Amino acid sequence: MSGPFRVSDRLRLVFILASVLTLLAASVAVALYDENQYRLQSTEAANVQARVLADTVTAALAFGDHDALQEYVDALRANNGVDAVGVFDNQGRRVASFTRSQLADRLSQVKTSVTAPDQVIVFAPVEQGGVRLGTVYLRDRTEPAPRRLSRYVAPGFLVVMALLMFAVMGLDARALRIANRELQTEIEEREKVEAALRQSQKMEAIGRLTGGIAHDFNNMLGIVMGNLDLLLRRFQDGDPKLVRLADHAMEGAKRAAALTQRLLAFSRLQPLRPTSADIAKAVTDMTDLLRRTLGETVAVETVSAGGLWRAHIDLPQLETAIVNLAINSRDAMPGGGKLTLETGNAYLDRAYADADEDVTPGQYVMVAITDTGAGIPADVIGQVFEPFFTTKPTGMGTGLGLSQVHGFIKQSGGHVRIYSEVGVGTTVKLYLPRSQADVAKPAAVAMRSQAPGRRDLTVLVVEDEVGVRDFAVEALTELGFDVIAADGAKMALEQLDLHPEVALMLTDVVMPEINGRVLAEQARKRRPALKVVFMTGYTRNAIVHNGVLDAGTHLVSKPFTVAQLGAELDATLADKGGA
Amino acid sequence: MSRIAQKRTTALIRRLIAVGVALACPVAAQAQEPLEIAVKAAYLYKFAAFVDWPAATTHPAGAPFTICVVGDDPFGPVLDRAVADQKVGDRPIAVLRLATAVHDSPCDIAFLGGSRAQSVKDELSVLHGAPVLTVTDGGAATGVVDFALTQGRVRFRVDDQAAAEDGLTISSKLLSLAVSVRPRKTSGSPP
Repeated sequence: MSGPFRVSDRLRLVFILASVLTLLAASVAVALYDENQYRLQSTEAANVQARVLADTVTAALAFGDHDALQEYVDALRANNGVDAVGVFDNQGRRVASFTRSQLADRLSQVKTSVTAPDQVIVFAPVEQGGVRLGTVYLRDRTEPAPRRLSRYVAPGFLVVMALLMFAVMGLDARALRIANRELQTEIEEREKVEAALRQSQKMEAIGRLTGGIAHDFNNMLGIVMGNLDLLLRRFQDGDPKLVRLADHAMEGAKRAAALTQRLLAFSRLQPLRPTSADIAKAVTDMTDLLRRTLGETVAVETVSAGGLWRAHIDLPQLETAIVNLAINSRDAMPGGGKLTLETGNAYLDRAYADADEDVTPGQYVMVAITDTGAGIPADVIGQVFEPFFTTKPTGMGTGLGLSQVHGFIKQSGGHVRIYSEVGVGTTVKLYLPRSQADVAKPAAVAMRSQAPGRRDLTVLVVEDEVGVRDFAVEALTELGFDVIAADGAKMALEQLDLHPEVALMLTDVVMPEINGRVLAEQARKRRPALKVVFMTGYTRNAIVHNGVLDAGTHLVSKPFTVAQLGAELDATLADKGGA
Repeated sequence: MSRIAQKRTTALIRRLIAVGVALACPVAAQAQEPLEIAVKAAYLYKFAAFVDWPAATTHPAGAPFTICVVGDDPFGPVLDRAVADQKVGDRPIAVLRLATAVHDSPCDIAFLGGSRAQSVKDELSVLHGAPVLTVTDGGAATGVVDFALTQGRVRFRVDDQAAAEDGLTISSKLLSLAVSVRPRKTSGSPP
């Protein structure tokens, strides 16, 4: 598209340049020709004048009538262009002359005298009947150079104007070409950005869809798991066959829960607990685990840069992500190979950030996982972060590994890059945001005490989904709490008023009308000491800002087991901060 | 006529003065007299360039251009020296001295000096109608060209009518230099 346009553009420039040169050459040629013509004409005119004089003075010269000669010669005074006239006899003596400057006495001297450039000198023989009688010398002054040049002022002005016009045209063409090139570049850039935006929107849409399904599915799994849990707890000594069946069911439910967890991770909807983490240490600590996981055919090497910053990241999730990537790498190297884990500080500048629409420029801690595997073809590399996309044979991979990594890192405010070359290997670079508090904060999660004796507490359960609510009630009862249940915020507040002994409220976050967060605020207005624990499988809601829990918020992720619930409640009760 | 007579008187006076000067100062006289003669001698052959002879008188190839001195010869060797290296066209110049004029002479130019045997007037009548440029040196009878002294310089008069009668054409350049010209009659045609 741009090809022919540029060619015609260049042609135009060449044409303009050629026109300019032609015009210049033509003007110079015309001027030179004119000048030459003028010179020839001046000479010719002088010749004619000299010949006329020669013819006129013949008899006077022949018969030595100097008076007559002088009269003839003087007649030429009327012509201002004539500078000097001399009539010489056949002995070369000057016999008559008039001059406005000077003239030698002898013809031989006249012939050798040097003259000025603006003079035209001609000689004409004086002859009669084949007899040479003498010579006429005539010196004309040509028009002075300035006056001759003044005649070229008007055409010269026209030429200059034409040249200016050509120059403007040339500049115009050049400006147009530059503008076109800029436009082209802009279009290309815009196309790139649009492609990136489309990709990001696609991921967003897929994430939302996946997240929605996973959330609802999670709730249902919560019911299944909770009830199975209760079943197992109550019938610990029951029929071993039944217990085994329940165990199997529990196992399946746990796997389903793990799957939904990964989907939520991809959807950036899993609750994260980022801390200031030492990534180099984490990576080193993982080396043994990775060696065991990957087998003996894969060599694992770690390279850590000195002075590594701390990253603000949920460390367990990061470890999961690295394991996921390592497993992908292993699968890409069936015949063995090398896995390199590299850490370093990275600064992503604005230029880098501009190339990708959702990268924030700034300081990052980079973790690169490089393998020597098969590589990923260029035509599918754009799709590898999409959920359920896999290059592995059917049944070998879920297609969720990379999408989970992507979702997690994005949710953490980081950035993922993948570089791959078929037959050489693949590098995945994780850019983790640098921690602002470079000193490790005290663990965000409070110490979990056993607290076995505190079972005279009353817990208010608020949950609109009856299955979850029932399970929660059962679980709390199992844990030894007194339980009051409510199906929504309105009822919960009523119950709080009715039961001042309620010490802790366990509430769902997403509820119709009033959500968990608002409920918690209203409850605390009445009962500032009330402790609140949120239940959620879905973090896109009021208690989470950008996927990160407010400090001090206690949360139990659905689906949860009785033990997990117990641990979280104990942690909350032990937290002196109230909240 | 009276004008010519006056000129002649002037010429005579000048000659008397010249003679007087010559007597007083022999060297100067010697220089003065030959100068006038030399100029006239030079004029004789110079006239040739300004005169066209009728085509019928074309001389055989190689024939010299002939200047005749008829009767008394005032020039002597001066004339021979003057024409020695000169040519008229491609013809060399020969000097021929004749005692009397004859109609069918080989002369192209004839200086009529006159003599006791034949006066200038008689010589003119003999040469009348012949294609010969007749030259006289003052006097009552004048040829086509008649020498005259004007302000101490040798000048000449031209009788264009006489030239026409002799079948000669005289260049207007020569006419323009003449002291006086007797113009040819426009109706008259040469014989």
